[in-house]
Amino acid sequence: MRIKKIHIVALIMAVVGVVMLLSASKDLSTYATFGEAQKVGKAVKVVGVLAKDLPMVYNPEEDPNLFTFHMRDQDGVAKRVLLNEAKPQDFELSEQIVVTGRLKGGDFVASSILLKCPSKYKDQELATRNDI
Amino acid sequence: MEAVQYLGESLWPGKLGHILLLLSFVSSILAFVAFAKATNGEVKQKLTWSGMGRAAFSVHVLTVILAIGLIFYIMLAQLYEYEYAWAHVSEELPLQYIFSAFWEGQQGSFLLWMFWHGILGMILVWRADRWHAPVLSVLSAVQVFLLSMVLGIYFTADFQLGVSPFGLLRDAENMADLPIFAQANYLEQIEGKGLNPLLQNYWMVIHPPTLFLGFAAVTIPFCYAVAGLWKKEYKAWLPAVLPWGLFAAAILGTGIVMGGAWAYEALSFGGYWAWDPVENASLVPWLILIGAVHMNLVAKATGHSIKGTYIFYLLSFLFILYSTFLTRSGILGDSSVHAFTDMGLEWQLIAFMATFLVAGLWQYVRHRKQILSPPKEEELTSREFWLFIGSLILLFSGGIIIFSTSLPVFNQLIDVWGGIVGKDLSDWHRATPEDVMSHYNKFQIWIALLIGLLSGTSLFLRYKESRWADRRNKILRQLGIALIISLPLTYVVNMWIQATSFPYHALLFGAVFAIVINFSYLATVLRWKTRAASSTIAHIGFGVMILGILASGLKKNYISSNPFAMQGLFEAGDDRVNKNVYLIKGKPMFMNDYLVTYLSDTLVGNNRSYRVEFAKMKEGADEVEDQFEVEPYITYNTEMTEMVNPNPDTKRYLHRDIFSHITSVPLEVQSTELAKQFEDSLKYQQIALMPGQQMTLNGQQIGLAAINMQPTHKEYAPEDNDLAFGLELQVWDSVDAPVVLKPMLVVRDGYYIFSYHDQSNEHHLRIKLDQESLDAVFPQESLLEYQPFSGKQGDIFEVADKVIRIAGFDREPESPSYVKQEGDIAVAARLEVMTKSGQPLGVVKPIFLIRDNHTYLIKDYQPTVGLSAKFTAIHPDTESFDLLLADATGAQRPIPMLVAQDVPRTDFLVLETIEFPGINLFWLGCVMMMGGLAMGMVQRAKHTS
Repeated sequence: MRIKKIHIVALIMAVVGVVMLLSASKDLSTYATFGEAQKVGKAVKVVGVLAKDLPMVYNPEEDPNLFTFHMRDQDGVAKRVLLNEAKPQDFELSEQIVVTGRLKGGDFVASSILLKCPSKYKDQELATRNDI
Repeated sequence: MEAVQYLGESLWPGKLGHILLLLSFVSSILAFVAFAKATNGEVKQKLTWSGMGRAAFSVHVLTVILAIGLIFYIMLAQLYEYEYAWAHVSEELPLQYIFSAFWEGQQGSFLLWMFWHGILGMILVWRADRWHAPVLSVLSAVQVFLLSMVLGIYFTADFQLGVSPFGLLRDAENMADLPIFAQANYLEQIEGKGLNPLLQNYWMVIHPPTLFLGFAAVTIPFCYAVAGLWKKEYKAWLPAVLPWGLFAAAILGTGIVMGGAWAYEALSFGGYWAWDPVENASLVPWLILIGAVHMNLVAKATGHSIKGTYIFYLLSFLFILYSTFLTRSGILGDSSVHAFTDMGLEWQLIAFMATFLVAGLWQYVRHRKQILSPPKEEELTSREFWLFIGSLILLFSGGIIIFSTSLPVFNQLIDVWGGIVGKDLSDWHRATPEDVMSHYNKFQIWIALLIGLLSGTSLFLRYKESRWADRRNKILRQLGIALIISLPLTYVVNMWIQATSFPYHALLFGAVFAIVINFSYLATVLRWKTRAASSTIAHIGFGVMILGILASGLKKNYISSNPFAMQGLFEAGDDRVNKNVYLIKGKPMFMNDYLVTYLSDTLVGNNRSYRVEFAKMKEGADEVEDQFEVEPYITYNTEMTEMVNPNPDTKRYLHRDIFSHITSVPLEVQSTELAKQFEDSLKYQQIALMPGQQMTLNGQQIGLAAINMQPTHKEYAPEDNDLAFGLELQVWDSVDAPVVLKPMLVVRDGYYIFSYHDQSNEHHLRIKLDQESLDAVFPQESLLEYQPFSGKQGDIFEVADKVIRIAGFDREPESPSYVKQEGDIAVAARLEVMTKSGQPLGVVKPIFLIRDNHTYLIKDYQPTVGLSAKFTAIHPDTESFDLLLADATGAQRPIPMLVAQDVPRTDFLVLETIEFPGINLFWLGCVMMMGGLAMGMVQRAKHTS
């Protein structure tokens, strides 16, 4: 079979594609618990819930860009999480929290946060007129 | 349990709706079969089958429209017995959002999608050209699957086909067991949940229908592709499909850009694109579709790339289905902020995808060998070769994006595999990168660069080039000129954009080059004939859009970043910025060349809007260069008990936008519950002061200046029968200047007590009054010793150390304790009180009232006077009056009050302000691209017909 241009193009595409996907997968972070995050040292995603019994601080007068709270991971380990943002709205309502970041000196420094809120609009509760 | 006979339910719309959907489902199957027969059958029967197909399809479309109409009826009539109405509307929902409420839910959006398929299908039915039978057969098959999503037929308790929009609330999952449904009149007690206030926005009215029209439009080229294979006419379908491809690309693109505009303008994402999985899922089919359109052009003109055209059109539709799966199956829950809520349709969605993947690919593979390419390969110097390469690059771009977007799917597949081999493979799970933006950007930069370079260059090349040797020099000269103009121009533009790394320099060059060379094509080849310039306009649009992305992205600047804020908690060298700034009402704050002042906040309806002034200062001078105000606001729920969401405001200039967004407000204004929590968290202590007295409390001075019997307060609206008093206090310390605080207390209808606190944010101090202050201001009757007096106008009495003179009478008395009624006979005695030395203390006015033949005594007491007086009788014969007077000075005690110190401020605003330079270039570029596509569609459609 004669080698056609299309074959060369396909070969180049394939090579570039593999290189790109390999490079892309290197970026990806992994899920971890706080315990594992300690070992890994690099950025990980930790899934957990808000520890409502432990302090949660947002004092904009002091620093509008610091919100700290405690999160309990899936092993039940609670850590203080530092977030370089204002306190997200409806934070207390979150059912689940996913934070991305790394452990530093006992605290988890988060670069981003994703809240899973069934939110007040989606819950399976009937608002009755009597309630109001 | 005995079945309950429910009251007031309107069940006919639901039954009718089910019938309509079922009818629609059956007629779509009929249309599919009839059109298939019309494609395959014998020649003389074809016409009959086609007629049947068209009739069935028309019935299908009509029933879909009627079903939609019925849902609107249910929502407008607020029939909360239906879950869909209950979940999406409420009494308070403004009428203009009824459409948004309709497509907020999965069923509504499926029906919207079917509606558009129906409308596009009816165009084909009406035209009835030679492609209509196979195309409509495939389209009907798609409709069969879509309809199955909203059928809501139970086969067994666990297996259900679709979820009906006509389902009853009391039958809904997790609902049936609620005690409320044991009551026959439950309907009288429930109210709708209403539309999520985040979605009560005009973008929610126009974005979904556009996007779904785009989705529906992508289906048509897919149908044509299958039709082309089916009828074994591998070339004839190419001109017919091209206008549809361009139409789909223009509409889907517009839908995506609208989503970006919504995110940018109304939501708080702080940008128009976030590489969110939901956004990516609709971008990928569009990228592939653009590739398909280019392949289509090549195939139509040269006969090359026919296979590519098939594959690209097939893929763009399959990726629409994949995007539907991603956004509707709940699989993105961990990684996206705006997917639909899960409805348990996962397996049905997978079946939908799998069916069309297998059917489409099978058709293609079966016919692949018969699709012939021209014997001679594309020349390196031909337009077809480079368009082919360009399309492949677009596919590549989509592939990389969808790879990272699909991580949740991969994780789930890993779990499925783990289940098969019996191992926990969750260690293999991967999550989106820490920095999502740069992860996607770093690949797409190079793709955009290549597209930029190809987009103009390829226009100069010709299809089936045979005279390259003759034209070579001319083309190379054109390219050379474009290069010579672009390089310095890139340098100049970069002086504005200030890109710092090579990839961005390269992309900037690509964008500038694309603009220059397309203009050069427009000038030299098209000679400014805009009618033929659709592709040139779209390509220039691409370049302009990239410029806009670079400018607004690289020069995006947080004006609200305060350089004086604390550093050190987050690592040095971290490029994270402090995005928020803390503003105190009335106190200008200097940040990044701007003097920013939070001026005021006002509550209008459900919104509390904050006026913030920006004054840009001239560098090095004390002069204002530019000044403007923005008014971001927060929205409360209808009960006004809690804040629902903040809404940004943007100051627009031609060359940049300044976007301001509220990220935090005091707890007091967030919700009544938080306000109560805040109040409860304050540590009050009681102090007591006589008028004129002052004291020191932890270094702060508090003095009671006066008691005010006609107090005012910004939250107090006086009503009849209110008994109110307030204190005038002065607060000062060594640091801050004295302020006057005026807390007050109201007794309403003699029963309810309302306390209105007052606060000095400077002193972090709050004072409020309570029941005890009331008792102190108004001494108890039992403590007073009344003495009877009798006299005429002008008489003078002495009570203890006070001298009292009857100054006169008032036949129209006014007093907070007296409300005039028809038929009242009321007289007030005006008693002037002074000290023995003649210094006036004030006036008291007791009232004598005859109402309905009863006499009433309305006593008057003035704490500042220290006298309580009652007017007990009138003797008309002697023109004299009886009075009871008591000196209350002895009964006066210090007024107790509650003082909280170290109170957090309640007059602040946390604001995020971002500058987006050149963002209008982004919008302009997008408009040009979509406009170019639309122009192309119109021309090709004319050409075809």
